Amino acid sequence: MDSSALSKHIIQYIYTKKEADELLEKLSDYLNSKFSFTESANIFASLRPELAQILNNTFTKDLSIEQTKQLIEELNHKLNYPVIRITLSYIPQGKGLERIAAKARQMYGECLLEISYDNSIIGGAVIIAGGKYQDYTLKNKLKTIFEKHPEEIAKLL
Amino acid sequence: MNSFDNYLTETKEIGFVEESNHSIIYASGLPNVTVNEIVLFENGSTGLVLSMNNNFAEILTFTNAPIKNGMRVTRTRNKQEMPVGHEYLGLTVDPFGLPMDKLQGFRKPNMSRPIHVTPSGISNRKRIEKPFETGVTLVDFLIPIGKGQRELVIGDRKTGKTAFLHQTILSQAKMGTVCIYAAIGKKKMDIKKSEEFFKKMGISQNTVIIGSGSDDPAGVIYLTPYCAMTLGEYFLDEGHDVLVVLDDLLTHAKFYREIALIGKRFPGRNSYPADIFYTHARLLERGGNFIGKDGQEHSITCLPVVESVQGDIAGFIQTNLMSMTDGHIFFDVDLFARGQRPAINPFISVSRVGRQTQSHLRMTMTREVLSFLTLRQRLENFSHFGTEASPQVKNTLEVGNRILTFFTQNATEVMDVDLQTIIFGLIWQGIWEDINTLEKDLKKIRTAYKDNAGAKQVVKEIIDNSPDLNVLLITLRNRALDLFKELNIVIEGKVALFARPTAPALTPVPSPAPLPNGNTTIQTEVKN
Repeated sequence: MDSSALSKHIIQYIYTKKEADELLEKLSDYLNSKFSFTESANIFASLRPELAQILNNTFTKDLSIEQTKQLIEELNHKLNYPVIRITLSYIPQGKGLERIAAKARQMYGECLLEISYDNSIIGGAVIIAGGKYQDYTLKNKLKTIFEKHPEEIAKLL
Repeated sequence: MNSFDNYLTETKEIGFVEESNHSIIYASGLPNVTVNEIVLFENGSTGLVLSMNNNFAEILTFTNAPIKNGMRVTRTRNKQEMPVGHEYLGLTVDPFGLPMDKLQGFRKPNMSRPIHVTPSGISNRKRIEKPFETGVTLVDFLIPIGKGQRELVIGDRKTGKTAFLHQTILSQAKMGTVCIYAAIGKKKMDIKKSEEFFKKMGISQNTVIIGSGSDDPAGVIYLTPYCAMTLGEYFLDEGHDVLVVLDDLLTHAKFYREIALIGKRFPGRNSYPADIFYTHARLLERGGNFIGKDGQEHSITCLPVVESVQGDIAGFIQTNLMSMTDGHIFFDVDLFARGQRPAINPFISVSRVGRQTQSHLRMTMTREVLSFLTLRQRLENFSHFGTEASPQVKNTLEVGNRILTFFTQNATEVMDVDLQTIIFGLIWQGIWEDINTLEKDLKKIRTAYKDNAGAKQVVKEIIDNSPDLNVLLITLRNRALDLFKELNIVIEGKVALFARPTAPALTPVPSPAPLPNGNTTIQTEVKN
């Protein structure tokens, strides 16, 4: 497999900016381990399980130093996607994260997510993409309703 | 100002600080931000967008608070504005219109004006025709200024520039002019001193100090003169004559250079950015004599100050400012060292439009004095060779010294222009022969004249009946005793000159006016 196709394959499983940075760091560690006698088996263990699995499969093949360098270069270049910042009221895991990433890619094209957690928003999400601030939070919805219909709400309370 | 979240919800645009370099911040995001727009940081600090490219907006901050990478920033859709209103009279405020001494109960005016505006065009302007009294005899005589004129005040540090500005403000504020003193990057102590001077002199109700301290951010110092001019324009539109003092523009230029260099602008001469001339010209162009909204003439007289180094007035900023003003008053360090106060060198100073505002009488007097002082200086230089001076030369030097004594003023003294005219007439007549007597009598006359309506009336009559210097001298011979009587003082000078009932003095004095003791030799030399 050539490095371009390999990097493309790996990138499909990278959803967040944090993962991308971590991956590049791990690959750098992997490259360094090629020059030492230390065991390199568990280098990707701290990554998301699906991603770690793919990387372990990829790097168990006997990649030469040159090929590894080329792969890192490819990934460095490709992982320079615009970052979409999303604030959620929970920390998405597994399929949830995958779905969010798929939706973001559908809306904004190739991108990386930067997900932050804030339980004060109650529900929904704040999305910051290309300097645009979109507030789809439940907190904001409630605030708008309270501002628009203060009397009705006062009666209900 | 609304909170950060309110602006964010309203504008729906956000940016993130990517790089922070002293007072210049580079932020990503903010896709539709415009140049000169105010942006708000997450910590409540504000900034002004200077420029932008596809990736970053370059922001000038107005705070010393730390701005960290990753901090959020949002648009406000507001341009840089300064609150304006009569509430500011008597206050010392920063360029954002907030009192510097955290005045309790101060309510910020509701009205505000943009700081950067295009100056009024020629159709709104009128020829400068009214004289502007500084109260400083030397300036009013030799370098007259008109209302709406832009006169540069230039000189080395510690040569009395600020004292002169205080005197001018004192004189003008007493006449009802709104005086705005912009202290640009000054020490807080100096700003306080100015404030106390205005309070002590009882003119603070007509003055506003807009100050920025030397420890303030460069952006705040850069804005100070523009804010002063904005406030000046407000008072102009309200129907006032305004005096704006910009102290000083060399400091302003230095801070602008700092901003430009941090902002990676290409440095030009002396490392100043290429638009330094424009920066000052667009500021000073806002001064002038205008036709107000009420159809009346109102003026913004502007006195920018620039510091020279070791008497060198050919510096970059200094010459720039000379070329965009209507003249300059030069404070000479050598004259200061010799004890002359104010240490103004009238031979290097220029007023390009002031003469057109003078009456014929004042004009003839200015001409006589200037030519006489030129002659005196020549003779003084000649006398340095140790040659034995002839009686005529000695006489010229003595009269010159008397005139210089007349021009000498304390930093807190101002003299009415009419009184200046009369006293000069008396000196020219030769009633004082030694300087000590002159000094004593001058003091007495100034004090007695202050609130003396009768004396003011006599002075007014004498001046009204004197179209030129020769006629003034004749009128004085007839009316000087009336004036002394009104002043109710004993003059130590030779009052007997006027005591002769039928003196030949009634014959017209040949033009040019003879010097004291009837010697005309020197006059002939002047003409030649």
